[in-house]
Amino acid sequence: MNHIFNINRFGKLIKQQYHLSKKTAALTLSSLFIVYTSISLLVILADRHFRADHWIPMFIIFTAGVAIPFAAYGFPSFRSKDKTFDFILLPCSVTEKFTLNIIIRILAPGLILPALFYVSANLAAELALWLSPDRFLEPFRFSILYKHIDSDQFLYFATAIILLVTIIQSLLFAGASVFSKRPLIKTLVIFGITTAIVIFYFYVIIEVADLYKGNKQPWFTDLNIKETTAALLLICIELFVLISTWAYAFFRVKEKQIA
Amino acid sequence: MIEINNLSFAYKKQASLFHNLSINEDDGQIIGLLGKNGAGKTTLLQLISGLLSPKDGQISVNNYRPEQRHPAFLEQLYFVPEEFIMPSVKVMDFVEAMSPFYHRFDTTLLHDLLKKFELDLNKTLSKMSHGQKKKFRIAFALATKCQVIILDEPTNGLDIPSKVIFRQIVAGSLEDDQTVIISTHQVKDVETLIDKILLVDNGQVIFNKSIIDISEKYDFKIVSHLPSDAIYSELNPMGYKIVTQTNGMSSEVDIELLFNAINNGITFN
Repeated sequence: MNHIFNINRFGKLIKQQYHLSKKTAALTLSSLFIVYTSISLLVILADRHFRADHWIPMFIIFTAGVAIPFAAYGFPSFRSKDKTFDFILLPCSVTEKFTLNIIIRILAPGLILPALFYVSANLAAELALWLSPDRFLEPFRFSILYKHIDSDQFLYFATAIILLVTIIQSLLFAGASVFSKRPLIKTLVIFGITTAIVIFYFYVIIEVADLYKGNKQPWFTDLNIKETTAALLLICIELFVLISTWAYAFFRVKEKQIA
Repeated sequence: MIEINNLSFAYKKQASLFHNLSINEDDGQIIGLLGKNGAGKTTLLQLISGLLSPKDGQISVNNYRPEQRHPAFLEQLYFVPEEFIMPSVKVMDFVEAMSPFYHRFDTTLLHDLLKKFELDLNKTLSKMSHGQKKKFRIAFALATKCQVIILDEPTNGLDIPSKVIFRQIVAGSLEDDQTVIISTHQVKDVETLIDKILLVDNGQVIFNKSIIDISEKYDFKIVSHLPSDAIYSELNPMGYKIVTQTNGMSSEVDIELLFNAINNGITFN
């Protein structure tokens, strides 16, 4: 097991990443904070009646706009042959290197970006109220994001949504392990082609094979399952897709060669 | 211990570079890996370090299969490539980040080597010249005290005083269990340094002998008139550079002359 994952070695890898990337990370986070706050302030000032719901599209655009390219440019060492060289020869296991990339490129943005948005949005709100105190302004709260979800099935749907977001990040992250140049565009193209093939397949089986002939309902349209069961099924499918994506990316990293 | 048995390798859509190559090298040597451009020196080094996987045959380095990239194997190997990118951090930050991975890392030796190379610990690596970066990587490699140190064209980009220091520090910083493989086509730069010559050509090792063996059997000298017993000769401003059978006295090996002789089909037994 020691050669697959060793906690001491993983600790060294985290420290190495900290020493080599602390300046870049601090600069990136500071820049994002300034950009988030400035744009939020401009949006708030343009609307005298800023309701809580208005924060939702901003939250999605701001976080996805950073998280998606950040995941798509995972494994930065694979962007050049010289960096790939150092990545492969670093005395850590593939599991440790892969785990660190998952944490940095997928899990950390999922925690840091919403927190950054929360601070920026509330600072922008305070600034807006200071500039014109008579305006109507509801501050950003995380509860805004899930108030539309049925409280009985909250846990299931919240899990399904978080998993869906993680899958999108992971697909792009897997693309980064395959394509060394322009991974975001190439992954999106592959994803687009795959989606088109799936849609075409359903078009063929539904329209050409005429499944609804004589008002007959195919079996899969009448499963009569509960919402909770459906959500659980969705979570299972999502988990399968997520694990498959990570496994694919892992083996791509494991088999990476310098040539 | 480096053991290569019946190694075959080819890049995608290219002719085979190595076919049934076999090498057996003990620890504690400085090996000069020589060969013409495109002979496969760098590829062989990349196979030994696990950066590439053999198509056929086996490589074993200190009883590890390099292509498996076992962390314990990677801890024992340091490779200084010909071209590399250094991160935008200070020398001391890089050392703090990387040294914990090598359990025999000698910080005192590193400071000593950096001093000899006139490198500043507070300087940012990415702002250094290519030669300075190379000197730092060589110093770091030696300070790791790894059992296998691979230097690919280490003297490319070094100025003349630095080449002299390079030879001094490599010769003076090694432990008995360390093996250094130096790949170069600038044979003069490593002439006084290497213990063994490994010459590759057309995917095969065409020469593999220790410097002592060669110097005991052959004389390398410059003469004004070409003698009849010369095994190989080259015109020189002072007359001829020649290789002859030795008459009992060992002489200093002229690696460049030896290299040219082998490439011209002369066999040294």
